[in-house]
Amino acid sequence: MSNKLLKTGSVFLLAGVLASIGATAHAANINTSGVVFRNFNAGEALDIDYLTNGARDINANPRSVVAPIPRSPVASAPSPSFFIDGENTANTSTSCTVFVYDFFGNPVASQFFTEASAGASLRNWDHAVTFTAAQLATFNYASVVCTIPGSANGILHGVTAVQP
Amino acid sequence: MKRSLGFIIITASLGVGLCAFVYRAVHIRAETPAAASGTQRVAEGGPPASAELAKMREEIASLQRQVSSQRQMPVAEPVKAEADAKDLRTDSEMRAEGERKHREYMAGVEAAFRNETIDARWSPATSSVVQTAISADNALRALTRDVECRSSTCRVEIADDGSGSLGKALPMLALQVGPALPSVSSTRVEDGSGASTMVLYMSRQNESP
Repeated sequence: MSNKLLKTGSVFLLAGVLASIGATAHAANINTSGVVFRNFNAGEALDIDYLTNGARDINANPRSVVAPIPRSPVASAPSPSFFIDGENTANTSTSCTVFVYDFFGNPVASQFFTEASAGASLRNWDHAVTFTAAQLATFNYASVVCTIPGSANGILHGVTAVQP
Repeated sequence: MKRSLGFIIITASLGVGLCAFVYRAVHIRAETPAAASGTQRVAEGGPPASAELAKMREEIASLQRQVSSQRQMPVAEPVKAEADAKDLRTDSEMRAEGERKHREYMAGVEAAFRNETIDARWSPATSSVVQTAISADNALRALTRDVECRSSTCRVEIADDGSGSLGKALPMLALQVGPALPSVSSTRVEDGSGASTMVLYMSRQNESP
């Protein structure tokens, strides 16, 4: 009987603790695995292969992939940033554009970058993209489109939204 | 009547349960860390405690650690204060403020573009890059009205026919001209008759917030 009471009580207390965490929590960085990347063009679904640590293109030609960048609708930090992580085998490159759009779907801003492995070996990279606070308003959404090399020569590992 | 009696009994039971739990939680906290672990106590053959109880204690301890670590996270106070202040507003006010800021920002971008001189070498070369990328896409080719490049920024006007084709074409345009013009700011201009135009300011300089 006391165990039952204890259980019932604990359910309430746990709910209270969780509610208090929610009440005091602030937006934190959000890490999202590259497994969320998917084919940008409908006809290329079978060209994208998924691993536990990301996505790659197994067609011989480069392919475009797209992913959401989850973020909390918090007041913008002075320099809202995102990180895109990936890897490339020797002499291959990956180009990405991070897009910000408003809740009506209108494009607001974008930033392009290219990462390459010019050397003879595999290169892991981590690229920061920064927007102005005016570009990344509270409720704006973010997504990223990347063109990755064919023949599994590049993997997109993930995306991170940096939030205070 | 029966219903309300049942409700009172359930509420009373839950209240008693909560009190019992609070008492137990306070008691656990007073114990030494080693003794606080129910699993250890079971393993060591200490005072009898059910595995269920031990599991619950461990969960509570874990929750306490999480709460503690949340509180220890460094928070930039000015940013926090600003966020708290904005949380008090309604969403529609925040949205309106976001739109106002974006309008002001785009007015600044437009003014900066108009103040640029025309670089005799960069302007035609970059304009050609943009035109080539636009020509490669049937939808963009039909919808593009104007491309004007000055010394570090190109202004591109594209009609939005509402078909959704821009949503597919713009990312490809951004990727194609990205090496020359990595930073893009854009805005939609309504003409009053329901038609709208996307105005893109594509710049070779990365944004510095």
